[in-house]
Amino acid sequence: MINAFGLKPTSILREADRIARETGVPSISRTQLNRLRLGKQRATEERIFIVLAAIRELTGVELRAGELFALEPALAASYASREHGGVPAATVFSPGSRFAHFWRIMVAEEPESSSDQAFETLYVEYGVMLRTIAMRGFGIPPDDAEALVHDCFIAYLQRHTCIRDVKAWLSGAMRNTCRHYLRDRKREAPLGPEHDATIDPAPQASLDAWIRKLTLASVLARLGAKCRETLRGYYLADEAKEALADRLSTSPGYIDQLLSTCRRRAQELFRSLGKGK
Amino acid sequence: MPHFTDDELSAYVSDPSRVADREALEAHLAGCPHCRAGIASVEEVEEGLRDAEVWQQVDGFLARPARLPEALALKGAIEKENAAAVKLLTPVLRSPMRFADAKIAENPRFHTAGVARMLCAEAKGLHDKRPKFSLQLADAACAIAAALTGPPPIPRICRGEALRERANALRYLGRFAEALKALDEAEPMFDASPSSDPFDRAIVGYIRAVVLHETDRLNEALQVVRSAVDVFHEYGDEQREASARLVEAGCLYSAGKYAESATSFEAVISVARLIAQSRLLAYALQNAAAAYLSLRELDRAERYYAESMALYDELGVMTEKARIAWSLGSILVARGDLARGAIALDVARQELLQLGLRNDHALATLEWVEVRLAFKQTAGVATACREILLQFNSEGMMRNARLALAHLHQALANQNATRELVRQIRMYIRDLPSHPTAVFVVSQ
Repeated sequence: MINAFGLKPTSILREADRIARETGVPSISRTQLNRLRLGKQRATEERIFIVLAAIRELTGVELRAGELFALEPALAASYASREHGGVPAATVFSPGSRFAHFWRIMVAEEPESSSDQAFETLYVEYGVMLRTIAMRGFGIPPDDAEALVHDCFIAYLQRHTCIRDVKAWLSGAMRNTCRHYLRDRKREAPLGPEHDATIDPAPQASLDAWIRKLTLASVLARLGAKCRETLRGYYLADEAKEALADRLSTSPGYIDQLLSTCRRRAQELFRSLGKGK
Repeated sequence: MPHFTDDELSAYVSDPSRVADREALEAHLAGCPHCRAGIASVEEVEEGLRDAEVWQQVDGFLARPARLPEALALKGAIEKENAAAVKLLTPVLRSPMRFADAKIAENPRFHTAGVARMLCAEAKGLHDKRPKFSLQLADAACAIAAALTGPPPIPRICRGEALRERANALRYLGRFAEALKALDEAEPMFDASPSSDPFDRAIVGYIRAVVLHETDRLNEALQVVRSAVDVFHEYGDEQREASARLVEAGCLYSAGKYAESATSFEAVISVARLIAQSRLLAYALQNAAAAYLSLRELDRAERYYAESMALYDELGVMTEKARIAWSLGSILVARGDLARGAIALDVARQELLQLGLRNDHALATLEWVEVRLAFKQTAGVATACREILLQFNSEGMMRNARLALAHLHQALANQNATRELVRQIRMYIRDLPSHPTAVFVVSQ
């Protein structure tokens, strides 16, 4: 199953094995991972370490243990004071629901509709796409586009149980809302000149190109902050690696490594999302 | 040669002169579409990384939209309402009797949008398994939705959905005129949200097309369903689009365009396999089988029936399973294997009766009678015909059907019933729902 992050359980297991070999920490089996994911098993500190390290490595996202697991207070404190540090002592953790939730976000094809966080992700990411349809496809002014996007999400919430492909449904809903909006405006009064400036005939090719840009933007937004800042500094601000290393308080060698990992991750995610188009 | 990695391709895109084995890479690229596509993707990402507009959008993604809290509040309210509905309804949904006893439509505690939504969802899941119970649920949903007083447009949406499910239940029960009336009432309810109204109305249109098809109003059905196909396509709802195409193909079949309909059914079968929709696949296979049966492609028809029967078995749709058993009996008869055909039809008709599918039972019985008469085995024939006559009487069967059956009954008593007469009566009764005023006349 390809998810928004392009992450598969097998990839996590493979990466976990690799890290286990390098660090000497015990790896995790498929069954253990599944039981953990379903909340059927309490996780030892070693397992949390290996899962966290594997997901961090694969996604470039600087996750913390507390974002994946509901940590017991003492261990949360222990983790807060240590990032990738040494192998933690084997203590018992509560698997918590957050791991399952995060797992769904990472692995599920569509964000889990029952979670607020997933809905927020959906609202933010698809919201950008919907605004683009309104503004670029129909020439609707930004403030009105914002309101129409919100209306689409409200309509979605009211009948989401009978919607199968959320993204496609929202796109269709947006197009119909925009048509209705334009019909209404036509009846009320012709659009003022300030609106003319925003109107773009948006041939399909240009809309597609824009959607691909948005896809890349959504990929970059999903990367960890460090990844994002490194890529932004290097590519957009044209910062030298040394300057970047200085600003981010690290070495130029690490910047090289970050650039390579983050770029690769962005490529993978972009490709996996592109396949769904 | 193995493909180059993203890192290698990235390095090449950034600065080809710094790639150690540049010549090898370029030679590989010339003959490898996979790596060329990789290069294109790397270039697109690299270009995007330098694009200020992309980074502006990244900031947009990272910012929390102003009206998100409002949407989250609505989501929370709906979830809370739904959870409360589950708590309230679970005990009363255990059986139709318990549900009837609870009289929920009269109890204000149940008058919530969550309850109306849950009843609609339950009804939807039961239409083909227990249509009478699904109607009971949809009726309760209608009553509750009508009593809702919340902020618009929720009460209207609930009313529309409840009426839609009522229509759906009614069409499964063959009460087509009432189904159309419910659809007429449902449609105007979807006029409050420009984003979703076309989609909601397309669902109404889809049900309407099914009813129009069942009542032989094929041209109207085709027009309505084609418009629904377009809307479902626009909303990216592959499953509903395929279902609507199934109805379109069904209309072609009913219009006698068997080859054309078989092609359309095959298209739906492909989509259903692709999107892994067992129920849709089962229906499409069953209908394609009927088209192949009409085209006298008996082997293919049998194969398709067998596959759809297995699917219905998995899905627990016993009504369709019984109907297929009947069709398989018809195939044996069509092959000239009258003895085995008669046995299969006999088993099928008993099963149809047990499931309460009285019309189908009557038609299957008449087909069985036809086969028995064909090889002069009249034992049990008169009794079976008397049973369906009584059954139609008790079920309030229309007068014309009773008259036709009485005619057959008389012919059997006089020992002058023929296979042809039985066939004519069977066809007449089969077509009665769509031509209720037609009078039975024996054609010579």
